[in-house]
Amino acid sequence: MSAQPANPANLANPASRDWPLFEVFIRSKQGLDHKHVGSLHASDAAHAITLARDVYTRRQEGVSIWVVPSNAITASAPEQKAENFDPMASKIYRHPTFYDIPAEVGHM
Amino acid sequence: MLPESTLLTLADTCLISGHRLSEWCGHGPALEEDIALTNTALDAIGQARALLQVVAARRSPAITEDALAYLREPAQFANLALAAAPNTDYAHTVLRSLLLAAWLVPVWDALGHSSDHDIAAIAGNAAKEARVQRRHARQWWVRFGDGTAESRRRAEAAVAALWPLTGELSAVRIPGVDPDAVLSAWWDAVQDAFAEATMPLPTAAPPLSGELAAQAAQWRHALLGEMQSLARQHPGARW
Repeated sequence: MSAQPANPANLANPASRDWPLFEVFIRSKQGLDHKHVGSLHASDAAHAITLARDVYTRRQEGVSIWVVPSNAITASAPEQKAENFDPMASKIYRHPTFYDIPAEVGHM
Repeated sequence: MLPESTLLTLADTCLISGHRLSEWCGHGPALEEDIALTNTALDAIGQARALLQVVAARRSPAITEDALAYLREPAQFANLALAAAPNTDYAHTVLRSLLLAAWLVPVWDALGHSSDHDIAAIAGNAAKEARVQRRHARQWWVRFGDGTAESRRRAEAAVAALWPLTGELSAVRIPGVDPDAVLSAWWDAVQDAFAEATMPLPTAAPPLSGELAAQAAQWRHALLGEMQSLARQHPGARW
């Protein structure tokens, strides 16, 4: 691991110092999709699954667990949030709200 | 119905090993491990509770699970010696957990078919919990055995300390449960974990010596001294 800035909590906890971070995704009983629920430190992916079971499914939250190394995720830049997402606010025509739904289709 | 002595062997083994695991609460090597180990401790204590409730209800006159857990004398406990072995370090804790869970899985599996329906219901759930405990311990055991020189040294020290206690497993008799099948399943699971950990598997341990049994009684006495202290100092206390 690369050198971390001096952070007493990190130095005191061997897990945060030596173990890589994993993002945890859980699929609930009703859900079809795995949802991000948090992260944890573990020595490898199999260990991360074991720990995720204890940290994130203690209250029957899920029926399936995914873990992904946090450093495998590429994120959009927070400082580009405005230019990325604000322009969509004015483009209401991209929402399919102008169609008349035939009565026999029912709820969509 | 299974005899009370059998139920107490299982209940006390779970209660004592659960308390041992709970001693790590707040001291785990990492936050995530701390939670995992505390969950396992709660599973074991939950199994003990369920069994002690059955024992308590079948006594005449009936008593309470709390009286059995907190007011029985240490000499009346029937736990396996292995369950009381001190934590010492994480290698000792993990090996104790592995050796115990590898034995409990086939025991619970067999009891799941027991004609004693109260116990069969408890065993069904406990078998799942014991599998999680066995998997968790096995993962660590492989890391320690096949890890660094230091982890290997600690793993070897844990084997030296704990393996002799496994001699007791072959002496346990549970009505309706084939002892050879349990031992064979235990041996397979342990052998498999030791092989992946590149740890040499010791030969089968002889029956517990008098010296070891006395040592285990001392461990239990000290453990119960702490576990029962609150209930004994404040009889009938509630929260």
